[in-house]
Amino acid sequence: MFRKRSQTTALADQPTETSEPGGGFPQLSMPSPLRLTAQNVTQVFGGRGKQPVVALENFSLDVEPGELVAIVGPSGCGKTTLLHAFAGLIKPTAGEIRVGGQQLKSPRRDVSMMFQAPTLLPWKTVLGNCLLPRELEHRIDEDDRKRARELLTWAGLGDFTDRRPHELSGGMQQRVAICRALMANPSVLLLDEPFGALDAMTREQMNVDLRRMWAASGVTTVLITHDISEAVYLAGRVVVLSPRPGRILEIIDVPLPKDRDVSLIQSPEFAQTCGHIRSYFIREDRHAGV
Amino acid sequence: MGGRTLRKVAPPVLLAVVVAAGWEFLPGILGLEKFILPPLSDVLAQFGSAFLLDQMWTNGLVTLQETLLGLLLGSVVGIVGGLVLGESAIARATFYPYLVALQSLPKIALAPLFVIWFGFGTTPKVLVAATLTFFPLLVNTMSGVLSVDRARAQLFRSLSASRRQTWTKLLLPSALPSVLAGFEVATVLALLGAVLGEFVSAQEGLGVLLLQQQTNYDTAGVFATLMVLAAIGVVLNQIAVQLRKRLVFW
Repeated sequence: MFRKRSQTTALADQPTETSEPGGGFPQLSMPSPLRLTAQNVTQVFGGRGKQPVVALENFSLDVEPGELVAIVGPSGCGKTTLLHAFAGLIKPTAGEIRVGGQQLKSPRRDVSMMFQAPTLLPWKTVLGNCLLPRELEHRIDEDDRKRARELLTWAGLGDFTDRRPHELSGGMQQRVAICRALMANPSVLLLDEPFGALDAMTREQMNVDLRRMWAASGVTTVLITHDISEAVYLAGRVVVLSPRPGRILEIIDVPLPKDRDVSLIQSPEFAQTCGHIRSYFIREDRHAGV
Repeated sequence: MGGRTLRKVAPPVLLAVVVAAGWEFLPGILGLEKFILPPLSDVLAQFGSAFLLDQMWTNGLVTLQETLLGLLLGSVVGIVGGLVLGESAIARATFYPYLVALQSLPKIALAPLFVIWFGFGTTPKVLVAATLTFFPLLVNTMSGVLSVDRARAQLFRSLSASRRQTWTKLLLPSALPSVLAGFEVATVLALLGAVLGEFVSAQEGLGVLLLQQQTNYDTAGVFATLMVLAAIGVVLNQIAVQLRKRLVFW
């Protein structure tokens, strides 16, 4: 059973190298990106007998429409909590979150979330998975199918639309998840360590793809990661969070041009920014006596 | 490839040959009476008797009918109950402790009660079969619903899926493998329930045939009936296995 699965995965791995995402980003009727604001958000878990845990303390952030902001911090700093609050999956203990000026009370269809794992439905085909957001909204029509095919082709998955997720490699599955997130026509895109489970090389490629996708779609994006260079490469601003309870240590403007080439990774500005962020965590670690 | 298939098929075939040979010749060598352990050829010869074949056919149909009806009843009630318990925490808190207590009861002990209530016909056997099949399906359906992948549930929430959509497009497909695994176990239990029910009180069925053969010290006949029962069990179980493989293709 397992052997068969890994064999098909190995087979499916090969075409990734030849069918890299390419061509123009499909012309999507993306709605205009919305501003995302967090105002004095505090999140406390537990209580009722248990020792309450403050996951996030007084977090305020203003993400401009169409901006890509990365939030970095050590594990357990409340990053995922924050993203779940942005998605409307949890209600903050205090403070409020606004999307396009409207207070967020429950999940919105135009706020798309991408999880750490691809989280595909194994019984649906790649195309079916990609269409899920539309399927939950209304009956799927030919337009939806066409758009999904265009997106998948852009993601280098044009030949895999009728496959099942388990036939795909991890990187390809995560690309399906990106396409699915974009099918929802998001005004805001939330990415929770989207490539954390991938190997380093696939990950770099995915970062390049993601940056290109964001540039083409112009969607307001919040990326959670513990990979500092990933954050600096992708984001216009990087928010540095402290260990629990998560508080903002600094918001850094990344001194790189908007048009980013992979070669920028070797630039001194890139290294300097990464080093600056890294110094926070080394200091914090010592402080914590680790 | 050919070598690998041979290595997989050869050992069980070899075992069957050894057991068959032992069964055929050991009783004679050990000087066992035929009513203790008849040689295999005597057992197989039973299937040459038109009278016995006729008996097996009519009684077998009765047992099969009881099994299938019990399986159907137990599965429907078990799956529906499992879905209700999976959906509602209150229902779980209310019923589950008592269902566990009920499960600890040997179900066959209910058979005399069913006879008092429903007489000597098919109904009490169907009910014994159903009580045996009910529980694995209830538990498997409930745990299948409850063990839905957390990230997938969050995905559906983040996509503003309605409760109904979440059921039809996420919870039911997620529970399907577990439900069908329960069904596989249930097929064998249903047959067990039908035969046990016939032991308690019946005029027809393979269980009754077994008791008649026992009374007559017809050991070869007992073995022949056991073979038929085993065949029915294997076929039912295989149908369930194939159904699972067909429906759970992922």
